[in-house]
Amino acid sequence: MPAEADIMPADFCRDTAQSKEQDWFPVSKRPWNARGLSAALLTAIQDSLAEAIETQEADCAVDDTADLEVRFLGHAAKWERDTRFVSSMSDIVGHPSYKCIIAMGQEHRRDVLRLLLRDLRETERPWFTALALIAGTNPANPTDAGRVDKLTQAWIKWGKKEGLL
Amino acid sequence: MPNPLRRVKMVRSAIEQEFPGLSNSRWYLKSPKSTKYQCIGWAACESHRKWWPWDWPRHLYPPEVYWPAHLPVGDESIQNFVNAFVDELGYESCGRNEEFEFGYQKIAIYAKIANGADKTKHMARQHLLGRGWLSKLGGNVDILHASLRDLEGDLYGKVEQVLRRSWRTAFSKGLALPSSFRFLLYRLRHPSWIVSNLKRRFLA
Repeated sequence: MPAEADIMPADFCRDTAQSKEQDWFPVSKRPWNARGLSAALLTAIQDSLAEAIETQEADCAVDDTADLEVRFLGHAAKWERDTRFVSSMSDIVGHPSYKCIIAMGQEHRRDVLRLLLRDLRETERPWFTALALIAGTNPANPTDAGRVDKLTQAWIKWGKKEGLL
Repeated sequence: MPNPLRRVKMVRSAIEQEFPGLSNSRWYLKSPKSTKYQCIGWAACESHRKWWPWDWPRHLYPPEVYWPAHLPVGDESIQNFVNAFVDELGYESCGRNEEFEFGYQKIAIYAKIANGADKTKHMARQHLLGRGWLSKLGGNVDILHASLRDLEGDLYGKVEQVLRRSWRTAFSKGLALPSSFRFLLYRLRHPSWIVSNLKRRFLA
């Protein structure tokens, strides 16, 4: 039998009747799993985050760094849910949640960079555009345009060098 | 361990919700979710690189997506995508003729047209032996669907252009063997299609 990871992405493995539509990334790779929270509590948190983001879409303001992480995770979940079948870069990067994350990065540069790099490493969500815009640099080799593997390696290496990971 | 057949059912259900045209059609999952390539790269037989004409500041190069250097970036028109596939990969236009022709491989461009401007949204590649069309759904799974109509709708718009390339052109440009080999390796590394097809055959 093929390995579990080979069969399907873990984000598909939940029962549709029980899961919410916004659950599109692997439970095992969620950054907040490290805190030892139960699966039910995680789901409840994510539900409330997505709801909050849904109702305050344009609100990118954050009060403190704890709020920052919560808002980042909510925006990331909403962005991923809405663009999961989209290839157009203008639609992906033009999504309000993506823009909010970039706006958050303008104010809290190092904190948002840390969140983006951790999320990139753990969930493989492609944050390269946001990372480059917030960091104001791009550590990848110019010949690696479009190569997600190489871009990921370059950014992780850069994050370690900058003390963000 | 969750039942893999049940998981496949969940995937299929989620995709059919997004693309209602698939509900009454025969279609197959071909590989698991991957953010490493998307539909344009997949149409170009690439599973390691994303393609898109993305306008990106020179000082922050390279961008998240690849686009041939001689073509304009920031231009999402059908013509720009046609030029990329004609210039880089040897395709030629065949209007909207999507019928299988032995000796040719075809690709289709989905686009939305509003206020006279067209914006490309998706591309699909015809199965080499005409079994259907291969589509990578953004950064998600890739599927084999029977008809181009199956994915038409709000998200991808309609099929506006079909291109074709003869097998001879592909071989003469040295494009066929490397991409076929990469394609085979990719399939062998991601055997989800076996589960999917078994389910369709015996359990549907």
